[in-house]
Amino acid sequence: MAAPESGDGNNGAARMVTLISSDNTRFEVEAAAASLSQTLQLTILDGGGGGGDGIPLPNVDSATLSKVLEYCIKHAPAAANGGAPNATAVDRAELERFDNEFVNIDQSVLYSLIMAAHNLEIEGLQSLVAKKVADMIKGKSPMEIRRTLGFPDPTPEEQAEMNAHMLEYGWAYE
Amino acid sequence: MMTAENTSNKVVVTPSSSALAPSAVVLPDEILTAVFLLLPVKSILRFRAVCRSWAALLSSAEFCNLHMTAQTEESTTPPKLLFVSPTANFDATAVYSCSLSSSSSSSSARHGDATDHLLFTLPYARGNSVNVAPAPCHGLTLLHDATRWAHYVCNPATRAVTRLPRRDALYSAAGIGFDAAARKHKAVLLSQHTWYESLFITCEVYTLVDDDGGYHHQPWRPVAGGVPAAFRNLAHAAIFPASCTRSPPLFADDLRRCDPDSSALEIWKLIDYSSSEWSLNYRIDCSGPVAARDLLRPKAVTVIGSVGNSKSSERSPILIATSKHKVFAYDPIYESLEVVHTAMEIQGSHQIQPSNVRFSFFIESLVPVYKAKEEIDLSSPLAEATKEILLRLPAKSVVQNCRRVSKQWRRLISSDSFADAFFLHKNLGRRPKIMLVVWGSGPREFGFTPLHDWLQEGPDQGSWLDTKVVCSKPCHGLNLVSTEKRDYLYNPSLGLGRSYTMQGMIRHRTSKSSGSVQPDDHPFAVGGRNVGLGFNLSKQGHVIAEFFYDEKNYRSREYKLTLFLRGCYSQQQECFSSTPLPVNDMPPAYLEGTLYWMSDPRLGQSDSRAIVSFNIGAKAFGVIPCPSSIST
Repeated sequence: MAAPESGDGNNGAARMVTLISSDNTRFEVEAAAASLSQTLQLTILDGGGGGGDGIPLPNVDSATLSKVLEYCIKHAPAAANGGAPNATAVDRAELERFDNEFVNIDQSVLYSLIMAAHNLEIEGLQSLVAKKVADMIKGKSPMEIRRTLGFPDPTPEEQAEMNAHMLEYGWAYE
Repeated sequence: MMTAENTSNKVVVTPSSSALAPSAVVLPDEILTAVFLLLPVKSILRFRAVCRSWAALLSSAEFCNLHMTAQTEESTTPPKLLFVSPTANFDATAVYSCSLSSSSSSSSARHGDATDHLLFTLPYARGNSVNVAPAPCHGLTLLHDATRWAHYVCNPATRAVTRLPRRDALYSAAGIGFDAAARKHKAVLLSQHTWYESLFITCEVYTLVDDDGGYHHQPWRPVAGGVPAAFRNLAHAAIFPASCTRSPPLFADDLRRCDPDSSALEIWKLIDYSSSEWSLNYRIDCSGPVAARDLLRPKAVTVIGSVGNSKSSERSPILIATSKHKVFAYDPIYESLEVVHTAMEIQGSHQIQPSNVRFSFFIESLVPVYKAKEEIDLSSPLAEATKEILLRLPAKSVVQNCRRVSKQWRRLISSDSFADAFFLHKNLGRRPKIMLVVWGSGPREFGFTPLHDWLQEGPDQGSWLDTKVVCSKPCHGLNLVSTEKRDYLYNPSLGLGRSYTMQGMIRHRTSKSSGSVQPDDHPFAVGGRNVGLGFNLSKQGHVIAEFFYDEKNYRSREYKLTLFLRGCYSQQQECFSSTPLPVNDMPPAYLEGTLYWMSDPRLGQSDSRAIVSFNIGAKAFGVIPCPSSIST
């Protein structure tokens, strides 16, 4: 369909940009969705990423990038509304449901996602994954945390410190 | 690829759940911080034990500040209340937290859904006189024990608590503030002293710091320039209620109007501090029976905060606490009032009488509570060793000589924990000492000689008593020695005492001159009265209780009896003329805050024996029937 020439700038065929993952997979997405990333926003505003160039993202692999873009595409319309003052409760509930579903993923994917959200500076995704990790570790004991995060076993000295801490703050372990 | 970036301040993370994952992922501090900011205080305290780098991050002042800001703004956690309550027999004070469901779902809170958790106990805050400031200041809450003039600072979220260095001032009021420039908490103490009949107001500041090396010799420092003359009257007005009514200083103001016919509670807000401009923000209608009972009758009512986040504070429900230990949420939009918490659900609260408002609002924060040097010193190994030695000395030499050895020793000996340990050490598993009351030497009216010494050394004729003296049983370390003319309160192991003139004694003297009262007919009665020594657990002070008959007629069984009460360390005197039964001449027995007398079956309507009890704290009489074998 023909894009009408108009001045309001909010319609017409959406501008597309290309992102290239670390393993050289090319992703074509709407500029609005990619612009959720503070890092990409400036490049896109400068006109980058269009046509055949593509924006290389050497820190993000294709599996992670596709996941990130899934989030961006879903959240782009709400973000375009500027924090959604006119979004309906249904829309918000739908986004919330999507978010909950979205982070219900394998731990390793979650870590890659944290790093990607951080590198690309996608504010919403950063707080979403942070919240997920916080919920995951909230009730764990220090030893469980060490195991979950793959820390080496504590030295006898560290173990003594951990025990002393547990004695002092027993209530926090209940 | 990211492992290459692994530096000392980064944490290497190996996802354990997947073999497909890269061997290690680095979580930079920014991400870790973002995650930690979402965690409750309890998790963070625990995670300080995970590893040293986490401990450093989670203990840093920067993180603590960020965390408090995040918790205040997010307000996803429901507001929490702190409640102060004496434990059983008033032998300590417990601090509980209770979380409230937010007002939208407060129907569940009304049904006691709020859960109470014991945060900590203050073992030496005895009695029923610990007050709490209704709102925290930058994460820290001030508690005040009016009986011992002790101030405590706590962070209810981390359960850290410290006692501020002692500053014994009878007339004083304290508050806690946050010095935003120095980023330090400071306690401010206003106190009033009289010196040759002129009144002095002093203001001292104690700074809570990590290492108070510089403050060691003078923890409370007077403010530069003293209290300006213009503020003296105001300072006096702040100190007076704090000292005399034992209400929290400087904070709570009664919301209710003085007009007794008024049936509304008004909440005014000081809009501009400099111009003293006030606005009436809310007017709560109390014409309904429930509101009238719960908000107009209690002795004190105060606003402790508002539920909900700061953005919509104008419209969020307001929490109001009363001295009947209830908390209400007032919803300004629907103009509705509901009970969100009542302290009567808390364990051990059976004995709480309506007093001051004991609730405070609090937020989750990691603000550290720095222990005072004095407190740290008292728990040092040297202090512990010294204590073990001093415990083995007689009370007299500890008080008279050891106290003068050094500042450290004096501090140790006058600490609450030492007094407790001393009492336990001297009395645990030992038989009570038997001492004889003899005439005292020097300024002391009476002296105490251990029976053993007296038997061995032979009687010193000069010290023998030659008048009738009645000595009470020991009550919380003291004995009462009564003569016809005066009562003397003594600590027999120190030989220290003071004297009192009781009302009944005066009446006895006047009636004797008119010759209407018979002489004592009981070996334990002196001066025509029945005197006993008790202890007010809620106020933590000795009390002399004296029964006196103005009239006693065994033939007509008519009598007129009065009980006089006198606090030993206060001027307070009371009398009760409506006793449930007449008592005989046997002095009372004291047990856990209550005095027990035997009734006199020869007087009054009943001729069977019973026990008359008097709860000193509650000022309530009771009658306990005797077993049938001895009741008649």
